[in-house]
Amino acid sequence: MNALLAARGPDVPAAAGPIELEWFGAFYKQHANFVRRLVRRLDGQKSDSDDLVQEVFLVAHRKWPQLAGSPQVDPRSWLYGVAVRVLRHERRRRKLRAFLFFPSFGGERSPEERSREPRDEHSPATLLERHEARATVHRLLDSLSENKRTVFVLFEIEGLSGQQIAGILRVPIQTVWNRLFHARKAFLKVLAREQLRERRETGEE
Amino acid sequence: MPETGRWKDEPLDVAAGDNDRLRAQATELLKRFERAEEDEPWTPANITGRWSRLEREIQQQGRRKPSGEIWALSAACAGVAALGIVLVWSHQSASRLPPTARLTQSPPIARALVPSAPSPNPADVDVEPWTTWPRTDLGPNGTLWSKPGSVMRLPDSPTERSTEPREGYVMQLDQGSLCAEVASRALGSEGPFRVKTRQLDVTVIGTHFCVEAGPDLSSVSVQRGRVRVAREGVSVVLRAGESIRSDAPPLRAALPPPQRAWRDRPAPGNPVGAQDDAPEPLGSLSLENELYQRALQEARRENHPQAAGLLADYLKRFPNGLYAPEAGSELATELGLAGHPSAALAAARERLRSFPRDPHDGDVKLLMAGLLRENLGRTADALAVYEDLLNASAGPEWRAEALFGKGICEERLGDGAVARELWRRYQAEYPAGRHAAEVERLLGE
Repeated sequence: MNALLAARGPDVPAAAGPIELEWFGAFYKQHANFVRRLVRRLDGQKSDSDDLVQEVFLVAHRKWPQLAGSPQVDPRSWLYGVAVRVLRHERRRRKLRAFLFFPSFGGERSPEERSREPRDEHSPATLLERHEARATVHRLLDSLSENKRTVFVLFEIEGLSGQQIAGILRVPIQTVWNRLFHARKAFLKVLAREQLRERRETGEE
Repeated sequence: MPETGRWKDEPLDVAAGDNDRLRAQATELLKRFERAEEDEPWTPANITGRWSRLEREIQQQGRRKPSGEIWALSAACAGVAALGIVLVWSHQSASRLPPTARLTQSPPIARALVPSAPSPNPADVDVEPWTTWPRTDLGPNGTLWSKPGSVMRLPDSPTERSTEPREGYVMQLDQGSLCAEVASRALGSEGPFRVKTRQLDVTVIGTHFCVEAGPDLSSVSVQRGRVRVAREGVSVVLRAGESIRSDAPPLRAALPPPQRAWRDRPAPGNPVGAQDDAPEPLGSLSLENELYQRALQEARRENHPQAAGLLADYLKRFPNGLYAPEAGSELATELGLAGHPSAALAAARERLRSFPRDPHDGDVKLLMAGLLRENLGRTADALAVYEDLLNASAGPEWRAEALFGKGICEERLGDGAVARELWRRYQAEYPAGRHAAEVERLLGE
């Protein structure tokens, strides 16, 4: 029995065999928002991010025996690893699709898609500020390479430790620190460039 | 480099200097970003609806697979045969085993390893799958299950390296059995993951495999991915479902004649191929690593002609190398990206011809279909490739693309009714698929 899973959610089936859909459904409902947030942070606000969430759980269902057979693995850490690898595969497919001009190449969310998001009770000014912050951070993250972006998101935003990130990405910890160093440098560089452009546009320079 | 603090956890005091100011701004931005991200979660009703769609997709995938009873029976047979191995090897010396060594193709690990011993009566044996063996976490290198009583030596730390350059992470198995799940290895400084027995040297990239070792005989079987197995300078590459013993004929083959050393060759930046006609011997994994890694670097820099040249060079030198299937796929992709669709198509065909049972054939076929459909204007030929993918019971990710792509081809060839039928099938089988929105639009037109 996976004690961590039992403590955090539905009882995990003891055997590492095919899992009951009902159980997996409860697992999905518990972690869906977490995976959605993670996918959007790692991949940006693309139109197919909801599809990617489904893909992550499809893969999780297939690879379920790995989690059931590893009592000490935290399910969220495991889901991090699944999501990172699904996204890596997806980026490769996008590269292929972009080259082959497949019609459904992922892009930014349309205004219609954004309008379907649930509204909340914050003031319009707060909402605008947060929306701008989100758009800015995603824009800055989009300028990073996949490796740098992943480490930056997992460390700075998700709050994982270097050791955890090394385990998820299956790289040495020194590689994690190297990538983080370069990611931070690149992030600041692009931030400075954006601010300079804004100042020029508003006539401050 | 020690653990560092996160920007978003730092106070917002602005210190002197541009860099500090920028960092403070980045900190504030990340704090606001984190608050913004919490604003729009999926509602419970939304999640329930999405779960329903996912559940349907899982059930549809499950119907395309063998039933649970067949899997259980296969697992039981494999377990019985695995116990047979233990009984045979614990009561006989390995040298008395009949010389039936050959490269086998049967998927179950146990059948491939038992040469001709009679199967024990299932009623008398106690099945012990490898997943119940003690498990060792190898950190970023993967996971290991070792049978109790096995004699093996692991490196002292996950990052311990052999003293020889590029030897990688090396384990020694003197006696017993192990199975390992190894992630795809980052190349370059990390080096390969290796298991050595007294007779064999097993080199791994991204795979699940098992090794059995005895005083005079060892064997390797691969469940997923590929490994290279070497003995006394001669090696073979095993793919999923294959296995080999240390006394198998390929490993007894004479060494090929020596080739020109890497350092004496001209720089591999020339567009195509090395100077020599004969392929390099498979003894120098570090050379393969180096060339393939350089090609990947150029591809990441989007220097497609250079990447294509390096990949072509790799395939010329190492046609049966450890990375040859990937190199073949990458070459087709890079040629396409470099603006040579005909050459890309030829490379894709060659890749399929050279490695007909590789698990990533679907990707290569989709690439071919796309080249034919979009770049070369050969819609009918693209249709044939999509049909081939659908007829071959391709995996769900390829099947989805093939259904959608075939619909596009049918429409262009003038058969709108067939196209719509294909898209309706896509909608039914992949309601949350990547092209779902596009299909809905096409069906609505």
